[in-house]
Amino acid sequence: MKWAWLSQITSIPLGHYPQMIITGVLVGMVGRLMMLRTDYRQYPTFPHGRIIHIALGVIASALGAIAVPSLLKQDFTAITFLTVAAQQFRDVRNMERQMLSNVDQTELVPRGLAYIEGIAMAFEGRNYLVIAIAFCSSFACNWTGPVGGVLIGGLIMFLLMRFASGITIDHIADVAAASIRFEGPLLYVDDVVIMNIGLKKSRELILEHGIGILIRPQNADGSTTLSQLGQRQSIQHDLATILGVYRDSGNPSLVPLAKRDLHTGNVAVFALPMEKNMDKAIEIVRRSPVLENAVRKPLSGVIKPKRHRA
Amino acid sequence: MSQTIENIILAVVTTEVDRTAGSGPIFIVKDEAELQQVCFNLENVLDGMAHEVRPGTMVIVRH
Repeated sequence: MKWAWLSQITSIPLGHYPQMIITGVLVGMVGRLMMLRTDYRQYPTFPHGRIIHIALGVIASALGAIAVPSLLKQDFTAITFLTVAAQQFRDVRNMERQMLSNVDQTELVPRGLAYIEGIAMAFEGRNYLVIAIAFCSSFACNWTGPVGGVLIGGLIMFLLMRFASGITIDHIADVAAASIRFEGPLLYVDDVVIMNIGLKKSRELILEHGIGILIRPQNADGSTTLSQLGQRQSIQHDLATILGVYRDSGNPSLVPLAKRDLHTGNVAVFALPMEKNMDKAIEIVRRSPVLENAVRKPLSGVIKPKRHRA
Repeated sequence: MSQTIENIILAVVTTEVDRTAGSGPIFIVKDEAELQQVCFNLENVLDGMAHEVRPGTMVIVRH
């Protein structure tokens, strides 16, 4: 027996449980690491943010992996420790939310609360996914051995991660360039009033550096989703993160904003990038995530709206 | 703890003396050039935004 030394040390007849647990934990960890991609958003932050989430990932995968042997041993009460886990991971969500909200006050273009909630929720959810992956892998290992455990765990990982990845703006709307102009003090993107700019100097700067983008939702679902203020703020944040923003604290008139066309539900985005590149800006808006909290589907209701795209 | 006052008219800058009144600070200026200059200064000091209410009158509001 490969694991005989372990049972000798602990003097408990372990059978193949250590194998199951180790396989489950390892596969769960790989799952967490794959979900922990730090991209242009630099979130989770490196290195400590990442360390926190890797540590929690170890705990989550251990919980998932250990649940199986305890079930097999008919220790059904042992399953109650999963409730402790749930509480633990809810705290992860609170932690993320608090930290991001604090940091958000010092951003030139804030993420917005809806984006923050989305991120916090994703971090909680991912830990549950890790538990599920580790559980399935450990379970499969019971019958098929470590190789089968890894294969089944990998398959579950692939399925869950596909299921858990959200959609982007180009799934719900068309994005196009739009003109910006002034009528008196009023700034327009396309035909939508963005704001009233009093200072001539600011108007000149806006005409020089500003860009306009028009997001046209494909149907009523899209227009309701895009009407969410947090959704628009997250688009602005993405634009500012990648292309930079032409403003600093104490320049209140140079503020990127997105407003809605009340008749059509189109959203006119006014942005002030440091790098004025229309093609890149449009691509960024297309790829920016649709926030889970913003999604509404009026077309799936019993009473359907009769709104069509403009 | 610092407190900021938002969405309130912090100051009025105007060339039209006889058409402006009220309680807050009102800056009376002689022409459009001075209006722009005073508003620019106030924007920076108050960290607010200058909005044109009508030609010759601007308000500073922090958002």
